[in-house]
Amino acid sequence: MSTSPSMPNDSISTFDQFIDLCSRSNDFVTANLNINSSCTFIAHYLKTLVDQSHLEQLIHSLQNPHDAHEIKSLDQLKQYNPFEGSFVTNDLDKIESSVFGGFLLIQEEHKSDAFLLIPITGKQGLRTDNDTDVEFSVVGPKIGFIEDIDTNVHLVRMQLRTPRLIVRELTVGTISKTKVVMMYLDGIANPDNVSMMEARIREIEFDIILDTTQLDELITDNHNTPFPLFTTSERRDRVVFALISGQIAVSTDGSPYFITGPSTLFDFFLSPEDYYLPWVLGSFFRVIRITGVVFSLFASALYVALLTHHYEVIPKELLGRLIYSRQNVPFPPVLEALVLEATVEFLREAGARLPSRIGQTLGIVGGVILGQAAVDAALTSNILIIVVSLSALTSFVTPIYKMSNAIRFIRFPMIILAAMWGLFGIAVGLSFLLLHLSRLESLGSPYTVPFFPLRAKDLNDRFIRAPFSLTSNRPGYLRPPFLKRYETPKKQRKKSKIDEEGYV
Amino acid sequence: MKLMNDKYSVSPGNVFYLMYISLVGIGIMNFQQKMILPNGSENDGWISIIIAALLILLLTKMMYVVLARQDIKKASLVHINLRYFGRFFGLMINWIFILYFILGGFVWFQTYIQVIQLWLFPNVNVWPLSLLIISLIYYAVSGGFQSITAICFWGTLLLYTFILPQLYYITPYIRPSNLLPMFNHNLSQYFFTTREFSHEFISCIILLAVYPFVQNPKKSQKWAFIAIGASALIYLIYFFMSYMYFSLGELKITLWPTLSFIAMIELPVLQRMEYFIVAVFLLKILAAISIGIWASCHSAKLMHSIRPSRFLLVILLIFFVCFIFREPSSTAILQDFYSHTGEILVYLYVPLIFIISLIGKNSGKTEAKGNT
Repeated sequence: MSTSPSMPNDSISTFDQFIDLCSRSNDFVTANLNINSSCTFIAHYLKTLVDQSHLEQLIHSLQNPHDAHEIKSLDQLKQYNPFEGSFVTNDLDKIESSVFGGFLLIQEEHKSDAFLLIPITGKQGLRTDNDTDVEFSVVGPKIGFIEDIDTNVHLVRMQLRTPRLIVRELTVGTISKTKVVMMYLDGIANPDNVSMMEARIREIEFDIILDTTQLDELITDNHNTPFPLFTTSERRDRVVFALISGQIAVSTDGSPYFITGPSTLFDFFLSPEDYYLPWVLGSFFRVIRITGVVFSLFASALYVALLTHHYEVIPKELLGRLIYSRQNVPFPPVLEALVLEATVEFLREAGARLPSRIGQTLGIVGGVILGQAAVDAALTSNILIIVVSLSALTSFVTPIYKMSNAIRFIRFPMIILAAMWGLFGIAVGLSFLLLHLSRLESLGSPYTVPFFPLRAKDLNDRFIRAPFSLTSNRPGYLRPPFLKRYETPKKQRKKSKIDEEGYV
Repeated sequence: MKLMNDKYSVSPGNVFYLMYISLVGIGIMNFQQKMILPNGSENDGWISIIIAALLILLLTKMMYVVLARQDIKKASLVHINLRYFGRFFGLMINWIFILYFILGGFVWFQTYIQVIQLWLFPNVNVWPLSLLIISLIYYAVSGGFQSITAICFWGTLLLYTFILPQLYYITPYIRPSNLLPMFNHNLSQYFFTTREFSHEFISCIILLAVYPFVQNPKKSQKWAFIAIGASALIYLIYFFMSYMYFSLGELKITLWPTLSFIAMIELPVLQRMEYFIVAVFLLKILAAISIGIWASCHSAKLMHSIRPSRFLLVILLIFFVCFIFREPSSTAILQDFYSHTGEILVYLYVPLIFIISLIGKNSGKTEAKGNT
């Protein structure tokens, strides 16, 4: 048994060997369970995995004098115990995974041909506050997921009250045996996508799944890309929205994140908040976000390209300011930009690993003092500080952290290309980026849809957040079997006031 | 019945980008030059643009008729030649086409690098540049037909979003009276200009190779026509802009009229916009070269089962070697050679197979009937 390739082979062939192996740990408890005089049971369990109050409840209910003398075998014990999901088996593999999953193992004294397993798993130590720390929004619910998969499924089910919400449980990981949950709406998610996702999860060969994002990389279509191919989210509203659009959501036990797919590039620029604001404002914020990302990608590279190769592109009034600001700087623009961009990355990386209180101090030291001092010491120019901090700022406008990482990464090759070949270098970078994006696929469907392949009908909810009267259909690129999301009220011709006014 | 997995083919609308990219080449930057006297029709060149566009429209229609009359599984350049010219001559013609596509790619490649040298970096070492472009071509073509269509799409989009709005800044400086007097040239001049200008359009023959990769290919005819219209419109716009912006005398000494008048634009934060145009044009050139190379790789695969990925590497190696050892004067010679071969292929070959196909059996129809 237990021939997982990732562990030395223990070659357990008998139950006694198994008990011997387990007894090496001090938290493994073996106790006699005397219910009545006629038969004695022996219970084994890991006291660190089971819930003490559940155990007490179990013993208490079995000592009920009315039932007690009726229990003579494991099967009867199974009937009388109050916990759902107990079973009798003699499969050592199953016994091992259950005991280490927090089950109580019961055998009859002197008998080792059948064993009863009762789930009394403890869930202590899990976080219970489920604020959306990472994907914060000002308007709208602040319900996020936590590290317990059952709670997460419960949270999603509370909003999708339909039997069509299918929850599939799979097990991944040779050691961790992590429960992976795949959710989709039957009849709305494309069946091909569902079977592809399930097949990919089943094919995973890995030892321990620590987080859903790990799963993301294991089932991704392309391993060699900085772009996330599945949307990662800790927000309930986002996952529910993805499900209702026809995507599939996957999460693993022990992770507060869901991945949803098939995703497209533009999914990463949508925020649930867009839908809680009037569509005009929602669209405005979305446009801000997208222009922010474009700015972030090209601003520093353009600065380097123009100052290194094509200063004649800058009008003379602006050029004057630039020369003034750079006159004492002894470095070429590329070095200046790379060092500053790296500094921003150092700040971000240090800030991300520090407790929030120290993080604030770091922000002041790094951002304000360091920047000011760098300019005073004539190591960088004022204008570059503006450009770099703006592009750092704008790289964080994407609602999904993984995407902002990708964008910040791409800036570095861009700057280097710009330093070597100026605007032509940027064009090379841009061409490569567009080609790369067009070649990417998420769960087999193209990443840049609905732009390429162009689907005019799905464009309404991409650059702008269309009003609800226009989004009554699900996006067609997900190929949902059932396209209609809701009925839009029939348009009544609105008469303008000037036509209506007058005496009654 | 489905001939090809959706993963490899594209929807009919994409023919627009493919055709558009093939029709609007780097010539858009200096086609005005070819219309100058002594043989050109100068300010009446717009007539030639319209005539050339109509001619290409007619030829495209012919190509569609020919393709529609083929067995749907064999509606491609390679199979058509094998069918109508026999195995030996068919193979020969196919190889001519393969070399022609490669030559076209090389001509654009060379011309574009020349433009970069002229406008962006007069003293740059060009071989790293060529290596960069070649690796981009490899990345584009190795992604298959869909990635080629994607790059065509982005190329078309950029051309419109970057270049067209800039004309707005030119309008205050144009003088419509430069176009007058109209119709003051003789017929031979019109003929010469039309012939010269139609060289811009000769890559339309790529349609024959692309056709089998389009879902519902018969529906794509509309898009091909729209693409011809759109590219004729672009050329007309640039023709009028440059002829109204420059006087005839200025045009004679302006080698790159399109870039020269774009150079006049000044925005508050940027000027010399032609730098951006030349750089961004990379995307367009990349797309045009990639289609040609893809077509030759695919044709080679159909004829001799050569693995396209290997053939692609060979082509790119040839590109690089030819580029390194090129003579400065060879650009113009190659360009001329390419144009004249293209003339024969488009204006003689297409009507020829059109007539042959009309005489021959209509396999397209029987196939369709067999299905229903």
